[in-house]
Amino acid sequence: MIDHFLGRGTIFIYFSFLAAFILQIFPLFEWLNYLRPLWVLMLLLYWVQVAPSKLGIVSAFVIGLLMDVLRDDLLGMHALTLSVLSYLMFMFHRRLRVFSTVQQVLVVFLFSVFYLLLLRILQAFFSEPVAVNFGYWFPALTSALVWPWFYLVMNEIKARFNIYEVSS
Amino acid sequence: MSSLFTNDSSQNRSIVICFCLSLILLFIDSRTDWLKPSRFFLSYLKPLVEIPAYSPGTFSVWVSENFKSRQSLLRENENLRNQVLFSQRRVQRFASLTAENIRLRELLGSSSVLSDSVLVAEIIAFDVDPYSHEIILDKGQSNGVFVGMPFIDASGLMGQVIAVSAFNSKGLLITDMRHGLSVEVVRNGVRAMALGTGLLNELSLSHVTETTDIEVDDILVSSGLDGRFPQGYPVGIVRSIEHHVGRQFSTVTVSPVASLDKTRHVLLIFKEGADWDSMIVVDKPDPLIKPIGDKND
Repeated sequence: MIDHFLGRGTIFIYFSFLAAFILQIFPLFEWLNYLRPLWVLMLLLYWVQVAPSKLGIVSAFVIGLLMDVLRDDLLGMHALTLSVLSYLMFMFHRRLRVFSTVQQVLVVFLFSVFYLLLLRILQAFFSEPVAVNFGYWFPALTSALVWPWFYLVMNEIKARFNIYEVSS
Repeated sequence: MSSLFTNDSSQNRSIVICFCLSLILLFIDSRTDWLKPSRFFLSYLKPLVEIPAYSPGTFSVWVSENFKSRQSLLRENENLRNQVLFSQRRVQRFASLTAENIRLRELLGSSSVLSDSVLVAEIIAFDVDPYSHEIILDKGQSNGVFVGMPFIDASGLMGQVIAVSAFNSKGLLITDMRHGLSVEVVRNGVRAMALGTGLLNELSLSHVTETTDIEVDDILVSSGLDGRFPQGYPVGIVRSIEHHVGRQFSTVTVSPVASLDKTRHVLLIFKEGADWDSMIVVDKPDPLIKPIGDKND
């Protein structure tokens, strides 16, 4: 149990999320903000896919809560969306492994759209909704387009830090 | 063997738990203040992410401030000197007006003028969400910043603080779509609500009837009646008024006078002895005095 929470791989995963949080709020030019990929979501999808035994839905929930605190959103907003998305990814992860790159990109795109949609729905229910234009959906597109490279880079880093999933 | 196949039934159980828990959290957080303390406690973790994220920006500002050419420093110095002279002239004019104002207020038997004390804060970052106009300030709870604190820049009202963590705070600009404040026309004291439009250079006045006496180029100041913003700070200048035939209200667009997208420093205003009930006095600013926003003098 201790090994599960404090093992080398798990600690590495925590740090990767710290990096994703930093990228998520890193100040950029105004217009670039529309194109910012959903780093935290992508990283979550990645880890669930390659190391489902190291990262559970509860971790996704905790990461979502931290995201809510960071963005000053209502507590539970990202917690709910990220745990739902990670659950979906758990259902999908074996299939995703045999998918071609194009299929993976498509899946990531659909996941990102669903994520953004879910956030909008929760906003509409629990806080006053902010009118958005078409640019709200751009991050889904950029996330999907960035995904193949993101996947390669993360694989490289993972190999260098010796994070092995036992099997499956 | 647990790592060989992830256990689907345990996944099902945890998603149900997480789902319900987040719904409960959302429900509580959107309707009560109960989660405030835990949110504040968790916000101590924020610098862990914010410091690395914002430091490149802060560093580049530091570099550009420390490695300026002599020429540009001299030029800036001269500009500042001119500005001081300029401001001093205005202050001189204000001194007599303030004295007169206090005298008149005493005659009316109302409370004296509020002297707001201020705190200078620096804008560390604009919020990354393009749909909200939020800024991060480098002063927080430890400096006495509180939620609802108004802030201004050199030329006008900018917004209010909406979230405070230990060393940072988040401010909402008046142009955000979720923001509204009570304003009045300097010329005649007509009151209106100035709502944010989501554009950095535009506010709109809501529910202005066809017959309301508002004209283009009217100066709007905060009225203080919203109980949040102190009275008398310039907010904007009326840019255009459109009357619609057959509709009850006209569309009034206002340009904010604060340079919302340019400034780096803001002044946070402590409302000292803010006794809003006694502040509401029959106090129409003299239309001849146009102290605010007359940039072209």
